[in-house]
Amino acid sequence: MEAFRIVLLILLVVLALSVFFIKKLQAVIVFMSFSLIMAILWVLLEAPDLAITEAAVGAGGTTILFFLTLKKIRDIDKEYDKNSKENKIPKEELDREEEKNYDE
Amino acid sequence: MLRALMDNYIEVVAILLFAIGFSLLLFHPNLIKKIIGLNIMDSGVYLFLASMGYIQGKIAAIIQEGKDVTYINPIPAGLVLTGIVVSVSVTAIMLALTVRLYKRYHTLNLDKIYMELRKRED
Amino acid sequence: MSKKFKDYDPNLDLNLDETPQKSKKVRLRDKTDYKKAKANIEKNTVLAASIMYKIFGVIGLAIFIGLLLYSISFLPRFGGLDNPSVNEIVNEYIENGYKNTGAENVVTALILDYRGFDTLGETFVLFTAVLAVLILLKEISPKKRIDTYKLQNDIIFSSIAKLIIPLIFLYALYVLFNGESSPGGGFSGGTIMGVGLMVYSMAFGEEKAHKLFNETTFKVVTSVALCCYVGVKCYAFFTQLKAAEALGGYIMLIMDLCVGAVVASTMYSFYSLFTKGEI
Repeated sequence: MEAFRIVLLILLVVLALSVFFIKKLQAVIVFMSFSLIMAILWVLLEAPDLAITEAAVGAGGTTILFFLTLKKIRDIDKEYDKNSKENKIPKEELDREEEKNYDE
Repeated sequence: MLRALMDNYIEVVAILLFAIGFSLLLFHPNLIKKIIGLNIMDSGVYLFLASMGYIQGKIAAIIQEGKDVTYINPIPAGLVLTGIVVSVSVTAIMLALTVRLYKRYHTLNLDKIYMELRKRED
Repeated sequence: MSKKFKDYDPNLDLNLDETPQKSKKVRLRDKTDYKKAKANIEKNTVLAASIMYKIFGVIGLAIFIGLLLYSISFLPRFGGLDNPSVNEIVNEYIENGYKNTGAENVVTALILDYRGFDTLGETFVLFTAVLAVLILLKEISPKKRIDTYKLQNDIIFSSIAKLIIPLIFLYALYVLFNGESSPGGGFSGGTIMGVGLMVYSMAFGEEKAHKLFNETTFKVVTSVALCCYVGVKCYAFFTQLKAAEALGGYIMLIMDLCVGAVVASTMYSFYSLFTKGEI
């Protein structure tokens, strides 16, 4: 059991270090596997409540929110391009229009 | 001191995770990596707390009658359970802020947002 | 402030005889040179500031982590039998936990009975988080979105989801009701139910999910659950009954259900605010 615990801890540190060097979408997938290994570690530390909660929250809560954010960013880009192409408004005017709506 | 570090290796790994998460939060200009760094910091703190409750040779704190077993310390597990759910809500608020910032400035780079802010102030 | 600068042109006063195009060209060149120089100075200062920031950051972080690692040598041994953290309080919780609360899972007895007010504060935090995300992301006319690929048109996903969604809800109810005698409890069961609602919204379409769970449902469910939790806890607090006797011994189940309802509606409304712009 000691060797298993040591291998899992080393894997945790390697996963956390690898977020420095990779792109956004891959970093989110690495974060999901980080959460899964934490769930296994809670079982080894004899805390089963934490294991169920971390598995449900890590895979079903935080990671889904990250994917939804990335998708929404892509949607905002597409809408911006479509608006500026159709109406031929320069991009600075579109920014100032959004600023007005927010203030009012 | 080296012997203490070798005995309590879980606490050492927890502090290393805290350091890695903190440096992700400080040094990367990308907003999404900062949020991932904050979550890694949180996980390190929870690992440190919950490893205080473990006692060797004893089992999880669900009472079974008639057997001759002893149980671990259940108090840190109760503290960490609340913390895990709170960290989800903090992540959700920060991701919502990221979406609004992107709508306004069209970039995920914090240095460029800062330079744009200084330009617009003049 | 930039408009004032544009209106005031010092060149126009001097060159009245020349054609306006020439003076425009002179003005533009001056303006672009001035802007380029200013941008260069700004870039250089930001770059210098960022390098200094990184150096000081690394030094500060190294000192901080060195101090933390040094303090590990004062900690007791990991998993030792005679740790100072095991004192009379822990023995009291383990020995009298089942008698006082009727729950075999000591962690559930801790977070719902002995430290029930912490759970109340945490449900308030969840509720406030949904309010904050609602303020940030609510769209006034949510029908202006681009038509993205809808998951309900996918044959594989919709046919499997129709089989799995009742099983997800059944499992969530199982984990909720068994919070006292096995691992689980309010938080896990609530999260699983929230994920079940998310899959329902993906597989059956957004209009059907809106009929099932909209903003009035969210307000009613969260307010009733929080008030019920507070009321039951105050009743047990003021009559000084043990949790194994108050309300026929079912008080822990009611509190579990309240916490589970708040967590489930929180998770689903996060998902719904990110995709649709409304709950």
